[in-house]
Amino acid sequence: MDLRRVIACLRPVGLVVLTALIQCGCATPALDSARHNFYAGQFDKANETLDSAKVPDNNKVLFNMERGTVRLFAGRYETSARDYIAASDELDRLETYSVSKGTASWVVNDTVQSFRGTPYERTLLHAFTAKDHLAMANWDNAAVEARRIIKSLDPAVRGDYPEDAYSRYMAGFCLEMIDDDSNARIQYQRASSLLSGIKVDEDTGHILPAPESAAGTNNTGAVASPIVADDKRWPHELVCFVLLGHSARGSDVWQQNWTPGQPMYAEIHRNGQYLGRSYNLADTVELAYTTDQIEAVRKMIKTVGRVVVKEAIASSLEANDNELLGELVRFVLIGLLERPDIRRWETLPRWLQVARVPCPPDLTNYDVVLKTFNGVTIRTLHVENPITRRRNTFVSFCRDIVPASGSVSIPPRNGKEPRPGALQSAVTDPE
Amino acid sequence: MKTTVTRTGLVFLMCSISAFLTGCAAFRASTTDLDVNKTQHVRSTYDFSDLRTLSQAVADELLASPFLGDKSPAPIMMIAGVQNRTGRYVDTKGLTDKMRTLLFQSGKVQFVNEARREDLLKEQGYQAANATPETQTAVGKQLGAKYMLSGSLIEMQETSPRQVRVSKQEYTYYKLTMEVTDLETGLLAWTTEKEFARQSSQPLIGW
Repeated sequence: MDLRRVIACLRPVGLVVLTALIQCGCATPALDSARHNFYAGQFDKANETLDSAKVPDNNKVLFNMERGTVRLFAGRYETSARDYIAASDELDRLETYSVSKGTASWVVNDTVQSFRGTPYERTLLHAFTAKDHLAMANWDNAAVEARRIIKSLDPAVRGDYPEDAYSRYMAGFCLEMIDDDSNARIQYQRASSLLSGIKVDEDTGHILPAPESAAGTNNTGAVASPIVADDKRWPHELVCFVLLGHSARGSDVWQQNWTPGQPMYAEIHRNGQYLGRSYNLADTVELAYTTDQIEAVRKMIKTVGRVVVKEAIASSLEANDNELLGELVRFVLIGLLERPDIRRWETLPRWLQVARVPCPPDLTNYDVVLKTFNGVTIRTLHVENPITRRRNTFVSFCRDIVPASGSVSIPPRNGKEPRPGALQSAVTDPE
Repeated sequence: MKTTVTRTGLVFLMCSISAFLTGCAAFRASTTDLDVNKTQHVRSTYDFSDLRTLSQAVADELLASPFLGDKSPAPIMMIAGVQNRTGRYVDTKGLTDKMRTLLFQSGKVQFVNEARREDLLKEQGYQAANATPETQTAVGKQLGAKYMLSGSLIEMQETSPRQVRVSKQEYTYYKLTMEVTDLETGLLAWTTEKEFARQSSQPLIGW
């Protein structure tokens, strides 16, 4: 074969590779670096990395989700809310299916399509935006996000995907803050129906162990700890959203017998006085697992279909007496470009908890004592900011970015040990 | 000869395409002034045309109401704001600002500047400490509002159910309720409602 023919063969292959690279974008290094900085507690550095990165069109939503989270925990609530709202607006725009990107995804891979997140991520996007508004005491805007949470959890929108009690609780609380008690009650009621081991009082939003279920799967330690503060005279209360651990990474591989671990919980103290504890309302790793199970069949069918299309293209080239080109196309399309779409909102916390406890009227700071599910103290966080107030209710949140150290794995269902490679790092091992 | 003709044809085709693309307005960045008085909606949701229409309608109705009549001196009002009870970020301050401008320009209503109260006190404090006595603003002479203007904006939205379709139908209903409360008695002095509904269609498949 002469050189001219080889070059002629390589030309279309080069074009395909170039197109694929442009379509895929080069977002991953910046995102990975920002996530690494975030979990190292270097919020400003993470923010700078995302600020200076060129945002590819297909990853706008993911970038804004990640940057919004970085800024939320860096205390930049206004810019964080702006990022989250930009992500939400982009999601609205992406409701229109792009034929060009859809077609490209059949020849390259799914990452050429714009990231839309999974239903639970889209719901939590609003729950986290609401947190920004609560931190700025912007109650009306928090209620806007509450309505968006409710809309995203509507069965017609959500389909068969799981819903989480944390978002329901957040929606109820935001509505309660604007005195929309009847709608708040509905959300608390739904949150309660999604929980085991604990229940949400629909009239007050208080979270208590359910008497009929002493050992819930999500809140085993619920009964063991005291549930109300010693001093009941205070008419004031603190609602603290406690966010712990790491969500699932995109590259996490699920095993058949994967089981959720037992969550840590937080005790709220003020000047050494115990006020109450947090209860786990959602586990994002479990949500990711359930969602991935639902999507597995669809993804498998599409991957098989795509490989068939790629093979057909390569075979048709070979059939036209161009074996080398056929082999090259096969190598590029299947060997190089075929890869799964593992994009995920990775700066999300794993356990989304709420502590609603009585507190003194002059609350300016408090301590969050993190404990394993069986009550062993891990560490203490001191919180001074954000603490906002609406009448008798103080609102605050805190995040423990250290991986779930101290949390203990539980034997898997059916008595089997989890296989190596199952998602355990977030459950058992401190990094 | 044949190759030359083909090449010429190709060059001609490319020139035509580029001329078409650069000549067509849709492919060029452009800016056009819009007539703000002309109602125009791109989507079914609240927009600037609605802000203008609603505030004008409320102001007109309030000015024509027997409550305001020919009260002299013009009653003093404060604006407590419009509560946004929609699922969207609506600048309700923009709505009340527009209403206040229209009402104030009629000369039938006076307003206290409650949004700038802190700045006002700060300036008065500064003047008390630094300004000459003859130019100093007297403290404690502000006029109190007799009425409070407040309201709420609600939204209801319906979307066509999941089915085989190429576009999504959206119906959006808005209702603005405005009320004037007598600050002394706590009684409602005047109230009105303005509502509208709109339908829009969004393609589900695009390029």
